[in-house]
Amino acid sequence: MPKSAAIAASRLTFSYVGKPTLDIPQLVVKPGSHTLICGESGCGKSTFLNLVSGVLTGYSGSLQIAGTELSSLNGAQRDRFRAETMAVIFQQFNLIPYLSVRENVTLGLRLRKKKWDVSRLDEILTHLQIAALADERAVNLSHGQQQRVAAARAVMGQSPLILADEPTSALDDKNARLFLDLLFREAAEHKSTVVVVTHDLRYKKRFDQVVDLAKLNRAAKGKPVPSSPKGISRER
Amino acid sequence: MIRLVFASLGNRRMVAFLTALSVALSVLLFASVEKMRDGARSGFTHTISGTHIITGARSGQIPLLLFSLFHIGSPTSNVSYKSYLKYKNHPAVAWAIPLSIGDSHRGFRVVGTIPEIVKQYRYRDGRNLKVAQGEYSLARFKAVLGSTAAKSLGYKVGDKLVLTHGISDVQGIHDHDENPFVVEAIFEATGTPFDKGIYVSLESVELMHDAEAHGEDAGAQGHEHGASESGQQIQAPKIDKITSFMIGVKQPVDILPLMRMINEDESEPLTAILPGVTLGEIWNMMSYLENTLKLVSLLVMLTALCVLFISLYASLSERYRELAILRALGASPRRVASLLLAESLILTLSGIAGGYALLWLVTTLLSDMLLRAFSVSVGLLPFTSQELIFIAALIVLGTAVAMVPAVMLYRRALSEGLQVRQ
Repeated sequence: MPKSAAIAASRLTFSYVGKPTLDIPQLVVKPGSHTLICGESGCGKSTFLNLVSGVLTGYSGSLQIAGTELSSLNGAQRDRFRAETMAVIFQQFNLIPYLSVRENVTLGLRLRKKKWDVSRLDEILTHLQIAALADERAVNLSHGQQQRVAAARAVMGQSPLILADEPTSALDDKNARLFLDLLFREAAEHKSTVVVVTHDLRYKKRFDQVVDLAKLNRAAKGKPVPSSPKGISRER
Repeated sequence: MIRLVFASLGNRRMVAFLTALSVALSVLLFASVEKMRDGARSGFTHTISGTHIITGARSGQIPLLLFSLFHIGSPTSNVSYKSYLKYKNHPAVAWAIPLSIGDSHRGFRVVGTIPEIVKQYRYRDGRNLKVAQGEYSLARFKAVLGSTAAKSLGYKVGDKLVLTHGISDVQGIHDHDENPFVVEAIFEATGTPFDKGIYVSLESVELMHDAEAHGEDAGAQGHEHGASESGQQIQAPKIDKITSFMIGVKQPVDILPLMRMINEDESEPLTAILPGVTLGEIWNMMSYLENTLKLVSLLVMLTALCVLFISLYASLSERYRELAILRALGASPRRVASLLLAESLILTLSGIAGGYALLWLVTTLLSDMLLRAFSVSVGLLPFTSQELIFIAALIVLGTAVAMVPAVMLYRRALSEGLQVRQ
């Protein structure tokens, strides 16, 4: 397995309350590539993403992010590792309700005492069409607006790896396209790896790799156990 | 980052306010019990100061002190005025004030003394008596009232009062109603038993008793009484007996020799006591009272600490998800802990400050009333050692409680905190 892989999973299994929910023989995401992980509900998409982001722990097998085995890190190291190497757009947007849009977007940078470029912040907010809401408290925003704030926060960090869990679920076609434009532009600029977990296949043509987790995951419900990683297909 | 703390507190301002308020009320409760305990003790032991020796007829030390200063009980026998004069003129003695206690007026003791008492009687670290209303002279048939006596009896300057022999709540069967006294002045409250006395001159007491004796002798003559009274006012009354006297010496070094001399006086059996020492003995006899208050203080303190723990814990655990978000965004454990700590300290310290502000308000509003009604002087300062311990315990506990959600956050999986539970 090349050290340079952004994400490399091998014989990765995970059980939730004694029930196996994830069993992935092999999955590699190349650095700088854009991967779409799809599959019907309950096939383990979010579980996989939570394992990659280190939010969920206790897997067996191997899961390496940029060459680092996640299980070798303790809680605090994992937090630091996550903050430094990846930006996550959670399914629950996880905004701080009483902070303004601007404060939410820069929160991660401030928590890590990093400086940021105000013009870049304004540009991102403008692109996602939430610049007018910059000083609004997050709690007052609509679902779609909150999702865009979470997206802006993830892009703002210029992380090498951007993980997104259903980032377009609350967005209409236009806003979903705007978000993906921004995501891919930023990723290209900073050579970031992008992994999007979704069942929204509207934009699958824009990704380098599409993984159907329902097929790949041997622990997925009602699926025959495949002998090889058939679920991986390459496009483009 | 402090902005995040205040934004978070501001978001929960009602809960934050109530938490601080509950701390404030605990502090108020504990501090007021402490102040009262301290006030009761110092009110008692500072009943008198500046008086070096109290002398009475041979008796126990405590009864002598109790009837002389606290107006409790009665002297078993009297001291001759001759002995008083002898010690008053002793070279080591700076001043001596006679006390003649026995008569009463509607339950309040009448103290016969001399006008100089206003200069020599000191209480609480040498404070002087002050006259609140009227002109102080302690001339014949003039009475000066302690503040409690005046308030309870409802007397004002210029009112007349009739004294009773012995002590009784109701108008006595043995009233000296031939000789009404006029209230000429009222003392300011001292917070000591002095406030409960009615002060008249020794001469007036003697005159009253003489006149009464005369009236009984001349009972048949009835209405001629007025004439005989005016006749008596011309001649100076002969003072024979007093109940005790207070002595101030010129040099403190003379206190003990003088005391020995009085106790060994061969012409008359006398007892001399050091009031401070005897007050201490009495207070120690009543130490169960202070211990009870200490126990109450302790219980209040434990309750307050529980209240602080509960309210901080409740307000912090509801922030679990918020903390999980901060953690997911890369906040280090130290950062999360310092956020919680800052918040907890803000609540605890503002609660303590609020509690003392409330106490200040209460003592300012009520100190006069407390002093008059209970002879307890309560002030914001000084802090007792128990209070300092309590404040330190509150701050330590506030810090410790703040750590609970932080530890919780790192012991549970992060995914739990990020999930929205429906």
